[in-house]
Amino acid sequence: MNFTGTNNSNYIPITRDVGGLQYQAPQYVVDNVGNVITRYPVAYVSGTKAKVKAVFETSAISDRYIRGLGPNITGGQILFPSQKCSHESGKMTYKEIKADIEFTNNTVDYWDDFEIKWQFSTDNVNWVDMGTSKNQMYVTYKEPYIPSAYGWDIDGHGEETKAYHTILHLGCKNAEGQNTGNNVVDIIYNDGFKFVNNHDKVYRADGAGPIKYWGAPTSNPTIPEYYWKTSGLLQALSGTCGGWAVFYEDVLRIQGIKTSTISTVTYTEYVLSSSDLTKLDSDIKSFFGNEETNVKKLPPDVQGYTGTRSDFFVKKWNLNSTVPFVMNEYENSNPSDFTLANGKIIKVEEQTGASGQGNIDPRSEFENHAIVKYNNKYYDPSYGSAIANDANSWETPALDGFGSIVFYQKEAKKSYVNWVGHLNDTSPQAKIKP
Amino acid sequence: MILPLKPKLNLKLYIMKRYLFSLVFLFLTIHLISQSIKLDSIIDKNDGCFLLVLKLNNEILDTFSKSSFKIKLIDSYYTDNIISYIYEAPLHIGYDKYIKTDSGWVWSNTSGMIARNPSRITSAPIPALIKESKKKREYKIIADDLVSIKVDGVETIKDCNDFRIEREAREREYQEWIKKREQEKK
Repeated sequence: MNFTGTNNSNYIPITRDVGGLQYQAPQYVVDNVGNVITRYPVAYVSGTKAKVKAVFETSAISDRYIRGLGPNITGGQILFPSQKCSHESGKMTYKEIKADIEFTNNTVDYWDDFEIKWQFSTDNVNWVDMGTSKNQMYVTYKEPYIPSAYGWDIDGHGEETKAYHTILHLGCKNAEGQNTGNNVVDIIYNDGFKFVNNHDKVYRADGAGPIKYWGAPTSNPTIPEYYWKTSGLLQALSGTCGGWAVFYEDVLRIQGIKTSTISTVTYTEYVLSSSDLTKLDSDIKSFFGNEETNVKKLPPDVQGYTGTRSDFFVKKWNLNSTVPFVMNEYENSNPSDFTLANGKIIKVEEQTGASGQGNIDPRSEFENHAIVKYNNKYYDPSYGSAIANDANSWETPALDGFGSIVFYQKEAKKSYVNWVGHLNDTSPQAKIKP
Repeated sequence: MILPLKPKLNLKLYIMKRYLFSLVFLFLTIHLISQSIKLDSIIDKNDGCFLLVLKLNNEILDTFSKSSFKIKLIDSYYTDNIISYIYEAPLHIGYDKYIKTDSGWVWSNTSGMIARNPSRITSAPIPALIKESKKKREYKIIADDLVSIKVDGVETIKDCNDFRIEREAREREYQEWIKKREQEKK
């Protein structure tokens, strides 16, 4: 049986999560003894009608009427109308036809088994069951939003938005029955991404996962672009915050949400301010004493930016405003307390958490972080935290401090050390754009 | 004198002997090369730190750098009394030099950080960084304390004496800061 239609305005071609190829018709095939050979997922836009074509093997020698009875929706039972089918070479073809009613307009819907009971009749009055087809069916809130222009410097996506199976599954299953953009966005996030008691929240449609935030093999120094993309995240079952943000935004786009954006968090846009630099220099001298020359400030990650890098520290750290230097826990593969010649100790103060997707203790120090903004609210799919009504409502519970990373080298001994110039208070301290 | 004619069989034997001799020579050469001194990055089994060691035939002769982070050796330079190398660390590319003294290898203050690590990519994508990370970079020690940095074929030379000069300047600045602080206390 084939599901068809006009691409994306009615019928939504679904891309396989792994490999990037689309599921092709026929989406449902059963053999003569009832074994299901093919059962692919299918998707339509709300307010439009499903369209099907079916071929039946038959021993009948005369023409038959065939019809399909679908599930009940708001407007009644979906019916694929009766049509007279002639037999040819042992087959009868139910020609491509639209359902009698459309899926409820502007309403998300989902069936794990979208059943069509197929019947035949000799008189178009009395009907006999001849089998049932079952497909996963996804109905999106609106026509998918697939921007024609995309790119890292255009929309923060490194690839075209596609209706991956998991993207549709997370969107339609969680927002089933929702009929406003706000509710679609919020409920997909709250039910699909936000942690309640468990950080193993997001799985691929085939059950693989959980998909992880900074899970192996996402490790520096050579993270390929792969982990910033929806396709990479689905294949590797792991992604950075950039990967999680575009993934969640792709879920929204496929539901037809057009006005979300990727928002980037930095401390001071990658480069320390002059006042922070003065504070850092002073803190280095006070803390490291005559070992001061063993400390080297690091440049920003952004090529072309001069100055000293700025970083922020995601929960959880045991930070203290009187101890400005702590051991870096991520760039150092094997961090341990280190005592300076003056007796001061650079301590490992990173604590377990905050949990990220599928990862109880992900990396906790960053130069930037990607979240999603919609309708002036902020959504952080990487950490599954509560929806924030403004930027500071995201920042306050998420971060512990702000500063930089320095390189400490005392002769043969080398480590990266975090400078925590400021603890997070309740005022806005990070730059969150837009 | 009449030389006896070499039968054909002897000629074959002669070729075989030459062939075997070549094989033995090749084997010995490979064996000698494999015995040559080399730097290697290993993990310290005691504390999990990353060590850069000097090896001779898999035997550790000396340990140099000890870091909390993974390092990858990019290039190295040896003389009888100098060992220097370029390494890639998670956040930077570094140059280290050691000088042999009577009391062993001593770290040189011409060691330092050459550049940020260009292959490191941030958590959220930064378009400018992506373009930069695709450029081909080569780092090579061309002479004692001189490093060649090639970015897409464009070469710059880093004089590592700059690291020493910078350290000395910072040391003076630090001493002035201490003096000023003490005066303020009075």
